[in-house]
Amino acid sequence: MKRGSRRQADYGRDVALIGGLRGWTALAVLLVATVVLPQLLSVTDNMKWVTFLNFTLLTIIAVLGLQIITGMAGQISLGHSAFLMTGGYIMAILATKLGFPFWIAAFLAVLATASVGVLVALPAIRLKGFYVAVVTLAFFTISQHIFQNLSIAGGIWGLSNVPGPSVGPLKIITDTSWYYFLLLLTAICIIASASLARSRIGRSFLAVRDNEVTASGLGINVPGAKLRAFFIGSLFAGIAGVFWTSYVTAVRIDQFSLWDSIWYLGMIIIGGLGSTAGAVLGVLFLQLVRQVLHEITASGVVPLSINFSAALTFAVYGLAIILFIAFRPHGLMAVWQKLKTSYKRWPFGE
Amino acid sequence: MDPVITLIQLIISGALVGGIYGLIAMGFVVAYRNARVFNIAYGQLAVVGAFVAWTFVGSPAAPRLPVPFAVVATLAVAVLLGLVVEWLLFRRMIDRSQFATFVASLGLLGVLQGLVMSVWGTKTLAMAPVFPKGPLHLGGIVLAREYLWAFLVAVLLAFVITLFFRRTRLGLAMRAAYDNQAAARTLGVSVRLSSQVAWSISAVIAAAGGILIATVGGVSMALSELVLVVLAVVLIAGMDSVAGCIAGGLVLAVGQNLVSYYAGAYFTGIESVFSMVLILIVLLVRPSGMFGTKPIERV
Repeated sequence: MKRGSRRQADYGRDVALIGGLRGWTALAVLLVATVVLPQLLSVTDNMKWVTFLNFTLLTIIAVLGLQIITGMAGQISLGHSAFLMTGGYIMAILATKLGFPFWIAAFLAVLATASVGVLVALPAIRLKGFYVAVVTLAFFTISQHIFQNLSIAGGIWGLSNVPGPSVGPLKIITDTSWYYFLLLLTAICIIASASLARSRIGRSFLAVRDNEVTASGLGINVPGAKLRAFFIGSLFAGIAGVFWTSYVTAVRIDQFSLWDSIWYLGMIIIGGLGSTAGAVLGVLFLQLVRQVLHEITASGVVPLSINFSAALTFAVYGLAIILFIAFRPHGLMAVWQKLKTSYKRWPFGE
Repeated sequence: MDPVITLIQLIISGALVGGIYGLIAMGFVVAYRNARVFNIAYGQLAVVGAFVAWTFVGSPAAPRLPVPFAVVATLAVAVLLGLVVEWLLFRRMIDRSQFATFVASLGLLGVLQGLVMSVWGTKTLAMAPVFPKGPLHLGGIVLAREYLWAFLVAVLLAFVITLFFRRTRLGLAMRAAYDNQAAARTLGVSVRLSSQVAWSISAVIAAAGGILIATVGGVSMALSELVLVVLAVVLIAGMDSVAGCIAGGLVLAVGQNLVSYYAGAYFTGIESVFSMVLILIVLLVRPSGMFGTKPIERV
């Protein structure tokens, strides 16, 4: 997000996450809306929409991680869903096969995923651009086959009966309780990601992305920054993977596909590279597109086969990515900024 | 069977597939060199080619056109596809960063996947034989006739393409445009024409490779995993070496064949893991590949 045009009186206010009365009002409205949303949705018919929201929240957490690796540090990752897979599988193995309590298993799984992220980054930090993409692609393929062959991971059938979390006496089982739990988790992740973006570490990521030579000239440890980006990014992915598995109570090899990795990349492109809000917007946009397509085909207004509706999702997602990269390469965030500017300056043009 | 004979057979049958891999990888390199696009959707072009070929050739039960006509028609469709992709998408992105064109190719991957799924479905389709089938006995070694034919065609095509880039005026002009676009322009080389030709060649090679692979294993969406093979081959060969692709293909396919025969029982899908591990090793030890000329940027 560019704040260059309007500087605040002091630096503290300038870098504050939420600025001014308007910011706090918007936040309050957003908060009330997100809290009331499932109550409104449950009036309609079934829990379908709450389930949809839960998957959207989980995807937001995952994509925030990719935004750090690719959007902020500039390392193209085609293996992001493999981090979710790693987190999910380790969680399932620890919780169901080895009998760890939920929170300890979750903690260890997230930590393990972040360590795997560093492991993947080790070859990737010596290379640039597409070579990083290929390394992460190789990581995806390798980890997929490892989990498929591991007998403790249940082979091609995967693992089921993964427990859900409980906070004190509260057991999180129903979709609505999951919604509030994930909402809280997502909020924490968003705040963490936004804080990272304005910290020394986050800014070193941006410097590395924009020009590695300049960055090292400024005293930034370039390989170190990339390692940190992969660590933090896969940490987010690990969190998403752990709770994804726990939410659907099972993990299987086709749960996290290469296509998910590709759509995650598409989401940060559509939202806007490098910004936390952009990641959220991108996820919301593509998730809504998918759900709308699903609704159209499910309602039977247009007679389409199931197969065709899946094909349609692929084509529309692909087309959305192409249109955004061709015409709005800075994503929805840039569109929003532009709207805001022209609203403020009306009736004068840009 | 005699273990030595088995080993020789594995190596030869692997080499035959390797020739096809090498040919397919060439198309990726042409797009990367001459159109400057890291085309992650390349495997999907091969899938489209194979399905179009199936549409023209027909299933074994109900063949349609005679094979030579069907192949020519398929390649014509491939040229058209290449030109359309260039015209609609990559021409508009000619001055954009490599990251942008890469992302655009990701989008193309989704669009082509959706197209193939909606037109032909997701089932594996058997194709009427393009080459004569049957076993071929050479001493104690048994080879499939269609593999041999596919290999010969692949090597012939690879030879023609290499000749095109080394001997013809247009091919040389395209290489000049790769080396230095501005200088090539002042000498009257049309960068647009060069890009169009590159996309057509890339799509034709993809389609030809798709047909060759399909004659061996049937037509299905799984062909799209070809892009993993292609990436392994081009990285082994070096991103910018057309001729090195054949060598890279041979190394990869022979290795895969051996690994899957001797260790496949213990680890399903070990041949994919093998190719990925090979990629990692090559990238770490010799990032410019075995035949690459330009050293890639290191930090």
